[in-house]
Amino acid sequence: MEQQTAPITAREILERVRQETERRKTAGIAPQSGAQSSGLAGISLRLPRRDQPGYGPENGRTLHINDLLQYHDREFVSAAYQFILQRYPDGAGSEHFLDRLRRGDLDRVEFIGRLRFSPEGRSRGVAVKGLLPRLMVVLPGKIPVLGYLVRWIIAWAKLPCLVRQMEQMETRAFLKEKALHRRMDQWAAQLETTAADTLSRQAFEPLWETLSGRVDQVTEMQQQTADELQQAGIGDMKRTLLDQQGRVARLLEQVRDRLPGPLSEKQVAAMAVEEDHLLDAVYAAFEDRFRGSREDIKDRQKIYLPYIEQAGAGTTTTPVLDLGCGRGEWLELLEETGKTAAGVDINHLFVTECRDRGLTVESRDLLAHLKDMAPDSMGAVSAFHLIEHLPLTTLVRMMDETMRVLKPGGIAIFETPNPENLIVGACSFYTDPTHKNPLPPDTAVYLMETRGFCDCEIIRLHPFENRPGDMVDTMPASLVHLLYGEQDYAVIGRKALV
Amino acid sequence: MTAGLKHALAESGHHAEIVFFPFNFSSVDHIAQLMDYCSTQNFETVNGYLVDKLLVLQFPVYYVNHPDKTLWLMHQHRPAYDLYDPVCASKALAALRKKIVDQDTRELKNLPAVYTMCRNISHRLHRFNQIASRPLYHPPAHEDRFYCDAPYDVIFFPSRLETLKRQDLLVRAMAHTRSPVTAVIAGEGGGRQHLQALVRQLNLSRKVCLAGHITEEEKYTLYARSLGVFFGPRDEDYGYITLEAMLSSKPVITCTDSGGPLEFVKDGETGFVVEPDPERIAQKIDWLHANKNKAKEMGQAGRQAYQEKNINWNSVVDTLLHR
Repeated sequence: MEQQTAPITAREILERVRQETERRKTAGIAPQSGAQSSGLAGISLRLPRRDQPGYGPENGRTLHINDLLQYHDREFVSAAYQFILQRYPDGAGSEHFLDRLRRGDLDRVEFIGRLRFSPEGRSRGVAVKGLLPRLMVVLPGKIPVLGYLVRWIIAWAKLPCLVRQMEQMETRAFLKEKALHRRMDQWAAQLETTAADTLSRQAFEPLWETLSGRVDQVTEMQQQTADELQQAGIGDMKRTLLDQQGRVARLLEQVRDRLPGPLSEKQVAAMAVEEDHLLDAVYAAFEDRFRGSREDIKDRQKIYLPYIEQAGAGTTTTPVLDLGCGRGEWLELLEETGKTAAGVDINHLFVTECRDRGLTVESRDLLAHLKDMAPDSMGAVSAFHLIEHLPLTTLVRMMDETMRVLKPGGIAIFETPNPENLIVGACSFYTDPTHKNPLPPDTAVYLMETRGFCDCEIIRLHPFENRPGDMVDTMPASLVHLLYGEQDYAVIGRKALV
Repeated sequence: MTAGLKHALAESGHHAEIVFFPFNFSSVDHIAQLMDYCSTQNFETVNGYLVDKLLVLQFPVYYVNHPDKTLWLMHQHRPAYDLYDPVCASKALAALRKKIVDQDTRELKNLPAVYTMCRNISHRLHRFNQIASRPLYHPPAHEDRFYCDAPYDVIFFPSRLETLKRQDLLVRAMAHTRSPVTAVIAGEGGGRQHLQALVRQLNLSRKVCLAGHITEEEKYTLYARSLGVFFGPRDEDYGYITLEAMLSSKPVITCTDSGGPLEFVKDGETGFVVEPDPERIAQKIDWLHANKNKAKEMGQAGRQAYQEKNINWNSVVDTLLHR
């Protein structure tokens, strides 16, 4: 790609184009069909071909037998046919000769002689200089018995001549090699210029294509990202901003309070609590990403509605309390079905979001909240994906407090990931870095029972939806269940009526 | 064109000969005489050869008689049609015009098959002679030589320098461009002095270059290296330049009244169709400079569009011979 650093004149561009055209011409590059849709110019490089039939004497000189003897094997037969008979060799005849030549029982000179003095050769009447003397020497050797002697004598007589010929051949071979090297160097140079010229297209053009393709991809991705941000990210950002705004406001309040006197213990505690909310935005975003869509969750939670109904919970006198209500899907579901419910969550952002949706939610530590509540006041207490976040002591306290605030006959529902599923237990449980320990269903039931809940039951929920079919088909059912069985469960306990 | 047709006919195994009649535009008498002469000619046998088929391409040769005559209209006599100006026309010219229009209508109407080079010619034939015809596109010469390369900041316009081709539009547009784009206008012709004066007058000698005659090779390179091609003649018939630009994968800027190019250039897709107004043209030139990737895509779309039109000599020959 040529970059023009400064504006150049039309005349200069024309000049460049002229030079380029000239270069193309001298480099032997013919611009060819731009058949490629990229518009990339095709390049054709014409190199001389060595292996072309160009037999015989140059410049119309009379044919000398040596002109033919420089060839061997099939090439020799072909050359002899073309020059003496002035046609290409036919299949059978030439193969027969070739065979005999290869076996050594036909001398090349003799072959030329036979060809030349065949009826066809005679009719062509091509003069082959030096043929007759050579034949004179060769043919007597063909005479039986006597021929052997003749060949010996000839060989002796020819020795000095042979040595001379060998030297000549060596010289010629050397010269030929030299010429070849020169030729190759020329080609190399030619190739280099061509390469230099084509590099910009051949190498950079595809690169450029790819690059501009990439640019397009990036642009597209940017667009997508923008769209997604619009959908999800903006929400996160808004939340983060709101969170920070809220916290700054609260801190400012504390600071203002402090101005006349020293920091009270309460103020220090409040500031420390603010510190704990540092991760609120992070967790809120996390939840958005991994928990699933609002509609999906509400859909899944519908399964609990009969339990609530059965326990007579959700009336104004038997409200439902949702601990760690998060984005408030469950509360919303309850509201939609005409139940009275309230939530509590420590995350400011979730609380704000829930309140924006018109839900009743407190922003508090749930234990503190439970402790402040009157005993026997709730129809149901629920906690979805909460208990796995709590240290054991907190969990036990929470169960105790739940027991206390529930009305007799009230129901507690705690949903949590199911570590019976190996994938959940080994991996996906830890997707949420704030999870503490997986809680096996038995443990959950055990804890509930020891804290005084009765009629405890486990309902296992949410088996894997997208099982890899082909794999599942070949696995024992028990293994399938271990891998792709229910990923969550709920432990449900009740407060005894008496 | 004619040579291309002859070559294509030969390629498909036919023996074809080209017959020209010397034509003198300036003399009204000569034109009338030639018309009459052609009308009396019969090409059923020529030099002892039996002629199977007569393809006629232009005025007034299309009057020559043959039992199997097909018209592929390249030229009518435009001074008698769209270029006819009743105000300035002499009496003789007015008479000639009537003669031509009458005779064209009469003779061409009876032909079993009438094709034209392009839709614009078909339109004219219909408008002035009420004859229906079908456009039959043919490729420009050496279509396989056109290629595309990284562009210089140059708009290319190869054509004969004459008023109808409106090189002056491009020159004037270059006075309005803000980008460092230049223009190379190639070709010779009667309009040269006027254009030179215009370039001087607008002080554009750096931005505009009147290249004069260029070789075919230079033409390919210029197309290949251009940012875009301007081709905004007034009511052009066919116009190879549009096709050559498309073959070179370059966007074409043409004008709403340019005729032929409008059959190929899709505004905003393979180039731009703008009012014949220098400022509008300048805007598009600047746009090409500012959006080189888009410009490149437009060029490629142009090449694609050309290929989709399936313009080739084989189908021309097939159509002309087997109607």
